[in-house]
Amino acid sequence: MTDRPGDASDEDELDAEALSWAGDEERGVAPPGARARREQRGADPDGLGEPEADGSAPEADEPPPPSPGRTVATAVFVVVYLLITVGWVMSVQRTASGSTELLVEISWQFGEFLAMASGVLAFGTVFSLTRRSATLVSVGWWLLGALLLVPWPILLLLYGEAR
Amino acid sequence: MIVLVVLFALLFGLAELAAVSNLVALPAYYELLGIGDAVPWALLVAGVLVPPALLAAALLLGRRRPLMHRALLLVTALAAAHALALSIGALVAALQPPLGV
Repeated sequence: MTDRPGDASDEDELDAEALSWAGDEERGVAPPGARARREQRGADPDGLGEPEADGSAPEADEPPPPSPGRTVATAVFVVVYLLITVGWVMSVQRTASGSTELLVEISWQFGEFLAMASGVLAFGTVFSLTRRSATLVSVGWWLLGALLLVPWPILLLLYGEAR
Repeated sequence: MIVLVVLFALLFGLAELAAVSNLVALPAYYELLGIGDAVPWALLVAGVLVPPALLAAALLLGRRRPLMHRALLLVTALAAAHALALSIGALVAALQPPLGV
C-alpha cells in the first residue's frame, strides 16, 4: 500500500490497462474507464450533440446504451408524436386552400405535406441529435416540439362539431 | 452550405409570403364583411414572425455542425413553420365572429 501523490493517475492507467485487451485501440473499442470519463464530460449547452470546433462530424464512437429512464421517455414521446402525426393527417384531409390558382394550390399542398411530416421530423431530429446528451435535454426538446406542433386544425374542428 | 441556406431561405420565404399576404388581405376582407373590429392582429403578426424565427433558430442550432445535421434542423424548422401556419389559420377561422350579427 502506497499513498504517494500522483499515484491516482498511475492507478487510472493501470485500471484502463487491466480493463482492456491488446488490440482494442486498433478495433476502436475504448476501455470502460475511458467511456465513463467521456460521459462525465457532460452534455453541450443546447444538448444537440457535440459539434467539433472545425465543423467536422463528432467522434464516431457508439453512443452509450440508453438508460431505463431514456427508454421510457422515448416510448412516451413516440406515442405523443404518433398522435401528433395522426392529428395532422386528419387536419390536412379536412382543410383546403380555397384557391383556384395553381401556384397557391401547389404551395398549400407542399405546406400540408410538411405539416404531416413535422411530427416525424421533430421526433427524429431530437432523437438523433441528443443521443449523447442527458435524458432531460431530450425530453425538453421533445416537449417543446410537441407543444409547437399541436394539430390545432383538427382539434378545433372536433371541438366545433362537439358543440 | 451556402446553397443549402439559400434553398431553405427561399422555402421559408414561401411560408413568409403567405403570412404577409394574410396580414395584408385579411383586415381588408374583414372590413368588407363589416367585422373590421375583430381582426386577430396578434395571430396575424405571429404568423409573420414564425418563419424567420424558426429559420434563425435552425441556423443558430446548426452552427459548427456537420452538413447533414444542419439540413435536418432546417427541414424540421421548415415543417414546423408550415404546421404552425396551418394552426394559426385554423385559430383565425375559429375566432371569426359569425356574419350578420
